[in-house]
Amino acid sequence: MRSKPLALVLLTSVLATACSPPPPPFNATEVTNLTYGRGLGIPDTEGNIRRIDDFKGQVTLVFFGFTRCPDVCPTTLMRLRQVRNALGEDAGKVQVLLVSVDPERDTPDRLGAYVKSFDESFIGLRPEPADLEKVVKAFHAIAVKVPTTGGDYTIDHSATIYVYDRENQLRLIAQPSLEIDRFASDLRRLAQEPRGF
Amino acid sequence: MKLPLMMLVLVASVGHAIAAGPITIERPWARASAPGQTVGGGFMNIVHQGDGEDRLISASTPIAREVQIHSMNMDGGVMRMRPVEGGLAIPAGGRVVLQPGGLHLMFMDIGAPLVAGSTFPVTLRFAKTGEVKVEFSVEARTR
Repeated sequence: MRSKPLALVLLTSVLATACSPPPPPFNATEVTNLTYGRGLGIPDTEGNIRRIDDFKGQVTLVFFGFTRCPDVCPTTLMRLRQVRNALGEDAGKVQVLLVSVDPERDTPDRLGAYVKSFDESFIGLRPEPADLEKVVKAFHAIAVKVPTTGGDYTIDHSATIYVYDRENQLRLIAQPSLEIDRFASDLRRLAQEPRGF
Repeated sequence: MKLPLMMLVLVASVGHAIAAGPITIERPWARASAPGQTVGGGFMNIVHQGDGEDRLISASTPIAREVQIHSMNMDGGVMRMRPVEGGLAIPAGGRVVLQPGGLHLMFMDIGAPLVAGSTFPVTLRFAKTGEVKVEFSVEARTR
């Protein structure tokens, strides 16, 4: 009874050694040769200009949001904290950047306090209002002000998460609904890739 | 002076279902606010066991300048949030779920942070059932 499965296991391991299979696909959407956002400098909440290329050696996640967003932005920030924590010792190789689509209302202090309250390592980037359109376009993203009531407005915005590898190449585009363990598995792979991959 | 019958069936309840005539509000809760956040999201289930459609027309609370009823959807990777026009329809025999990632109440310009473990009152106004007063529980930001 037991000899047949054992033989199969042995055969399988021999085959696996002989020709290692290609890596499984990532859970998020894989992209190649896209230069979204590269070279763009955006001030952080301390006033330092940050570029994606500053984060060499880090897996860098970029997404758009604003502090008056009641639902999807806080949900994404919470989930990214959980994803990062799920990486254990590789967590330190993951940097989360939130780019505000509402710099008029998101003052540096407000945006900084907001993102740090989700995770101390998270960084808020605040384009100058005049630069917002250029920044959004550089990611081929969307951010549109929509009036609500009483002179108030909300902002329709891209909720996708752009994932750059440790060489600052855009590798993955993830939806905010991607399950935490599947997202973490993608990021672990990128965090463990040798540099110069 | 006779109180409307509706007022008699309203019983303050925290974190539990509260019934007002045919309408039951289950588990009203809000997420604790983050520092710097001047808005909050509120969630609940609205169950309608009566006849004919009712509508949630508006809501108010002393802790926010205004309460809006919003829909939220993802359209091609873009988050779109909109005030629900003409109120939120609650079909007879139906259950409408307000939850993260979908329909929600939005508390505009909260006067103070929403702290986990606290509660605050919200008055919901329905077209047929009238006012329903509920206590929202503030929950930690874990979901």
